[in-house]
Amino acid sequence: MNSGPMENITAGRGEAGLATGSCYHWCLEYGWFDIKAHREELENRLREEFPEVRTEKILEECGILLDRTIRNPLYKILNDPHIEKYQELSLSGWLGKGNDLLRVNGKIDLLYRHEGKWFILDFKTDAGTENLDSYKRQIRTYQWMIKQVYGIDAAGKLYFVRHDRHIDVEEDSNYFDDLPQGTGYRPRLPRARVKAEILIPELNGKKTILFCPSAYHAEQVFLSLARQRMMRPSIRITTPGKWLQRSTISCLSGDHLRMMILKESINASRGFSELMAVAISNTELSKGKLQPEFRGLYQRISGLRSAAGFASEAERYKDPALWDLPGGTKVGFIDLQPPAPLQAELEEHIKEKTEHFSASLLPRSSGTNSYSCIEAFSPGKK
Amino acid sequence: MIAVAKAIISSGLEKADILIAVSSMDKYAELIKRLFPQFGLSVRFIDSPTADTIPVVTLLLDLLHVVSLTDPDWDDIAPLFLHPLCRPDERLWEYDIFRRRHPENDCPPPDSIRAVMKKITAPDINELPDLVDAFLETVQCDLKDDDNTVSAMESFYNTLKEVLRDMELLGFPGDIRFIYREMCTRLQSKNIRCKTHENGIPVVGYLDSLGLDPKKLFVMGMAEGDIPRRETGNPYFVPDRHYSLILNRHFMKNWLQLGDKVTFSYARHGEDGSEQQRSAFLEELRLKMISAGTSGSRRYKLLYYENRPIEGNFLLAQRHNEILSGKMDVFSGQVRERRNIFQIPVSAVDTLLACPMRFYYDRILRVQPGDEDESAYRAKIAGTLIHAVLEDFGKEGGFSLSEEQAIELMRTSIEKVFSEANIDRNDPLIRDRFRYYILNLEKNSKENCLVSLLEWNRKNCQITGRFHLKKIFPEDRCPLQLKFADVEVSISGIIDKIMINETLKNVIVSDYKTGNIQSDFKEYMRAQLYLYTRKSLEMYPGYTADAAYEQIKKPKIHGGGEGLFLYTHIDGKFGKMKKNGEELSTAINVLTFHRLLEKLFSLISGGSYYITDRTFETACNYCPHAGLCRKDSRLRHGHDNGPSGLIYGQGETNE
Repeated sequence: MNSGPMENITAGRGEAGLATGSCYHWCLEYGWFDIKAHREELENRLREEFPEVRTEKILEECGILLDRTIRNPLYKILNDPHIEKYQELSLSGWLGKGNDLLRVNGKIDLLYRHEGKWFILDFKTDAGTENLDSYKRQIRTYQWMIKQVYGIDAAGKLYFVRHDRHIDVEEDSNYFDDLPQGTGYRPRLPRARVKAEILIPELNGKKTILFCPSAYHAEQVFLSLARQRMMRPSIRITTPGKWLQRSTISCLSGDHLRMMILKESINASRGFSELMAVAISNTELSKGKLQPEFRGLYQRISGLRSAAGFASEAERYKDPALWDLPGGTKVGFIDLQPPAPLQAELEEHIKEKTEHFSASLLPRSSGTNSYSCIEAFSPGKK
Repeated sequence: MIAVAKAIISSGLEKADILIAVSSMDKYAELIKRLFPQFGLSVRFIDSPTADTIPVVTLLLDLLHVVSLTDPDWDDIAPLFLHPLCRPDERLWEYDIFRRRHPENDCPPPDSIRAVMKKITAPDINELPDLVDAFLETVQCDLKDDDNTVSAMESFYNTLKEVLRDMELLGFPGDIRFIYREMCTRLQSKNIRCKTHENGIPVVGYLDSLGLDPKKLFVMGMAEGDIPRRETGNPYFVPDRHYSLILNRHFMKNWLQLGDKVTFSYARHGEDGSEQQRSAFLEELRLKMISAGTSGSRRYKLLYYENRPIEGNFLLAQRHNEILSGKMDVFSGQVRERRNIFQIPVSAVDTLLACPMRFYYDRILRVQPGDEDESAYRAKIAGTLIHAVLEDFGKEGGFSLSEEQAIELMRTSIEKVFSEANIDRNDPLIRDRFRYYILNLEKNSKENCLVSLLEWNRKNCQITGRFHLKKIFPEDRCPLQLKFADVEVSISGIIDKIMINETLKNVIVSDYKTGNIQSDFKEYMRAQLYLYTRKSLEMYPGYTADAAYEQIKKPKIHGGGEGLFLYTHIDGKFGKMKKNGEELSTAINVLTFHRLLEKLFSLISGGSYYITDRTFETACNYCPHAGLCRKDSRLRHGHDNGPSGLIYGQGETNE
């Protein structure tokens, strides 16, 4: 265990400890190992998520933790483009017992393949190791989840960055008997409500992004692929709406817009502000036009917004980060609904820049022209 | 809704193979949550609930509301301190009732409330999160440590912080009222993470059903207006295209591709009873219509217990097990024991005539009604009180007094009876409930039932000063005895009033009715009055006997003396007297009536009870045993032509 400036760092506790941990994880996720170069972004995020902590102190602590990481062999893995790795990988797993089915969600700090072997690694910024048992259980949870959805057997590791210490997580044969939900639960995937076989020829090991019409549809595609052992960490299944959140452009939220209208329009009622915010947002998304008499108000709002340093929602669609994807990425559009104008533009940009395909998981022809219809007396009771 | 649940069960598919898509979660989620489990169908909703629907958030919004007011009165504070999570004590409820009864009385709230109010009045806006903490600690809220509550609390605190930050960013003045309204708006759209049952049938919105290929898709809410959905009318915006219509067409295109896997459904009526049209999208399709159907609900509901016998010594469990066993036994009205003696009150004769099965549950099984109907209970209490007032009034000789004196005595009787029952006549709620008896108790009043009653008595009854009140003939002493071939029936009862005319050698037995009487039950009322006349003939030998029932419920009933119904015997019939005093309107043939009673008692003495052959809907209205009774037993036993049809036809026998 190394010594040095770590002794002077107060143990990460409460809000400050949480902020330090989060800040450290952001830096790992975005590869911001030089904290000075990304100070502004980090300060903004800290102010947004932890308004009560002193950012200076947090950044100082985080800098020390990053230095410690840079000196560790892990840094090489994090920066080696030839190593297959996935950071902040969100995933779900399912446990079943009889008729019960539980869903477990998690986010893995780092999943990587080194010398043909897969590893799950979780970074811990704790001052002590008193939570070691629960962290081990966390890793074991990730292990069965990874096995269930990707068919990957991965070794588990914990990295206590303050102590620069790696701990291997060994198997625990009693894991499933000690679940907080009770005994008898075992990994079991639910049935999928789509048949995603048609996608299999398109999934050739490359990084793939699949756009689905809704989050529920995305989950069903995920399940279908997992059941057929075709799901890989390199496949990202998302929706166009969720994809927009990847934009780094700071955009004015609907709530801000509403509040600005309330402030700018004398005697504006709450109902007016809500409808006007929708009208302005739809106008900017090119879905139509604002009534002419409110264009003055709109200009004032736009001025205020620019002064506050926010972009419009429409500008998010034009963020190159949304379509400038790493080389070799393949994009699939699955059963998407007719897009609104800006979304159509975004889809066009993605198609121009990447290898892409469109697919429908629906049956090609129903072979029937007769449908069942229930005519009930009332939605409640007869 | 029920039809869809049945169709799901009939499909025989597993839950994992089914998907339900609804046009509106607001409209359908609550109904589905309530109804589907009754059919053994567990469901799960893909949309998580919004924060403002979680109890702890409603409490905290109430707190912000109170804090935002400069001088809150009890009406503003009450929702906060009477919130179930604050565990209000008895004294607080009493205080609340007092304040509502006496809004003019500005009596201060209990000390404990004032102490909390002092702490939460008009803080600095940045102290609001601390104030929320302090409030929860002070009132020791009954917060559960479940995920939903924790997520909702987190959501509340985060939103409060966001609002405060945004206000600072946009330069809003520190107005707590603004914060409260902003919080209400934002929390309406904040979904909270909550645990779901992954194994239920998923219920999704139309959008979430896109692209899915389940084995069976039920699309609910295919009514015009829901699909195609109307464009939202935003007066400040002119859309380029009809996006809703385009999207709705896309939904239809998707669903139709699923072919016979999809079942559409719509309701002819909305929840508010308004007529609904089938969606125009369905007009061009060849539809196999599935009617909602009415039969077999028991079979489906049994699935709730997965068709397994229930352990337990309570009636519903016993009934469930009886149905499962396929036997026609206790709950079908089948008893092996033979009875030759019945001791019953006169009202039980009415019950027997109305429905032998109801008589069976009441008198043989002696089943107490499962759920007490509050309105019926209040009506019963009111009836008892008014009967007591009239009894007291009669005992004091009120019916022989002049109108002014009688009214004065009636006031005294009301005061006495109400005060004995500890009922405050000056309470606005009590005054309202008894308005037709307490208010306008004045000479010639048309608004007071008791004044009307006195008027009828004077007009219609030849009173000579002798009468008996509350004449009781108990079953163990001098009951009315009816003897049939092998059955003996002892009938007990209480006659409200007997008016005796010494000159004409006539008695009139009278019964007060303070409630509504269904039109068909008026027929049975004749049986009760007839039996009273039978008893009065025993009590007053040598007299003739007539009967009356005096309905004193609402003044409007009494227009033209319609509240008093006189019954008499003419030519072997007993019925309501017409105005000319000689003819009878609907009447029972006394001989036929006795034969009917004989037939009924001989049937039930053999242990075979059955449901009346009147239509189920009428027979079972207001029946307290409708939840237990096996309504199919009549059909199984072939009582296709029940004996009650013998006399209750067009007012005359059809023997």
